[in-house]
Amino acid sequence: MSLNATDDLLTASHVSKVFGATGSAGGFRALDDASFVVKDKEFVSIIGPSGCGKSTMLSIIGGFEQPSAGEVTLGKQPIAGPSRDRGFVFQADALFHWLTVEENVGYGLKVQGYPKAQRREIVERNLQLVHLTRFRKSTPGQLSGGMRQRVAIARALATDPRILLLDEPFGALDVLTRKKMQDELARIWDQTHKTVVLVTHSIEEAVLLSDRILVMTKSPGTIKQTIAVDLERPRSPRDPRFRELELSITELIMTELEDDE
Amino acid sequence: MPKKMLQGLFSISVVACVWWVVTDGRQLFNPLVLPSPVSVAKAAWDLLFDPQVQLFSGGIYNGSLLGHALISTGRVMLGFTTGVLVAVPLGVLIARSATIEPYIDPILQILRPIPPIAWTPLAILWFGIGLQAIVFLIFLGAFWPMLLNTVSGIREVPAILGRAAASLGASRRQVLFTVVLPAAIPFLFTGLRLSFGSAWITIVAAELIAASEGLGYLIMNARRILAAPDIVSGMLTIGLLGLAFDRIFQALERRLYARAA
Repeated sequence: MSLNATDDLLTASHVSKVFGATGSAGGFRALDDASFVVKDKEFVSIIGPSGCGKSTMLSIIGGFEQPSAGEVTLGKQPIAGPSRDRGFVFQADALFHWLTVEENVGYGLKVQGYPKAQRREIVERNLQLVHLTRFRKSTPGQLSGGMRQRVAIARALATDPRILLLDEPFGALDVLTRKKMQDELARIWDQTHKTVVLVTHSIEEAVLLSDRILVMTKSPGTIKQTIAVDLERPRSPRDPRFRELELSITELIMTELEDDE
Repeated sequence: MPKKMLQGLFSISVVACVWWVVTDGRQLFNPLVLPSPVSVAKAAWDLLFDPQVQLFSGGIYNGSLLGHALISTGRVMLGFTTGVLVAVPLGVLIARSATIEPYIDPILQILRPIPPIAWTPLAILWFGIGLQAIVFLIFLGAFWPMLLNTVSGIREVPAILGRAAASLGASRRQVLFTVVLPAAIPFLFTGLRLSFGSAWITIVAAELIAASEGLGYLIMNARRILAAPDIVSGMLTIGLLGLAFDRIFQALERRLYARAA
């Protein structure tokens, strides 16, 4: 099913965000006139120097923050708050720690009023997707950091959102777990082909997973350049073309940082 | 027997021995000023089992120590329950509403330091001499700790949990009842425990209001007839019952944590 001629699912047009005092001086300008589109079934990463406003951008898409200027639309509908259209995975632990793994994954279905049998079936499918069926009765406190983020991904996917928003989902994990989780996410995306926007500060992660990478300028952030990643999947960081792309993006971000001095 | 319990019993015995030595043993104090542990134990025994003594200890229905204790416990339960029922919804409202909080907070800050006993004259004017006035004072004792713990407990719930629930399709109401309140349960439980302790402490002051039974009455009546051992046995009953209730709350709290962990 095609949404429209160009298949644009998410459109951010001239989005600016000022925190604190609006208008005159005093406020902190986090985003400045950022515009981009995300196509249906596309995996897009947003990358940039720390504090560039990439997480703010994702919060606006999530509906947790309102832009000071500009607009974000999902399938032509302006975003006016959080909704089940947009599944969100946070960096920090956002699991409901008093619920079991399967109750966490089924939470969205429950509040949306799905019948019990259907809920069980969908939860089962998503637990299988993230390889956690054995831990359905565990509580988040009993799981490792990587497993917890897999639960968070399954929970966000269970309600079948139109787009999945990932805010540095592996940022708090150790290097090895992080690499494993990136492969997991590549596999999950391969199976679901969900539209994804990933905010990350790992260039390797962005190159490994994305169809396109949006590189942001330093604060106040705007889109500096869009890079299409036309490497075949599955990708390997050992591929010379992977390396090349990673280097050119690193240089792009480095020039942003150099302007500071 | 656990080591901690033995240590507790040891220090209690030491205090009792010293108490006995300075009273019955060496007779350093006038028994009217400091009764001996033996006389206190005898007074407690008589108050528990001797109908003749019970006649003098007041009480229309049952003048025994047990009767007084039951009546006081009932009053505390009544005041505690109403205090909690008012404090929890008000606390949720204050913590969740940025609009109401700045208006209500200054009023609460002024009222909070006023001890329940200072309300006694107004309580009598408003409710007359009787159960309602007594329960009102206990209500005040229970109300403040519960309110403060509810407000801070709800505020401590990470915003990220509410955001996660909202992006899974939960309404504001569902976020409150399925995420914010469950996440705040440990705080609410601590609030219950402190609130009950505070209500229990208020009992003597509350029963100064023309009560004709209850532990507070027992103590004040014993003072009138210069029965120092009865005074101390009433005091110790308040202490021991307070300890017992606190232990019950602690045990419930531990079970709660065991489930959450």
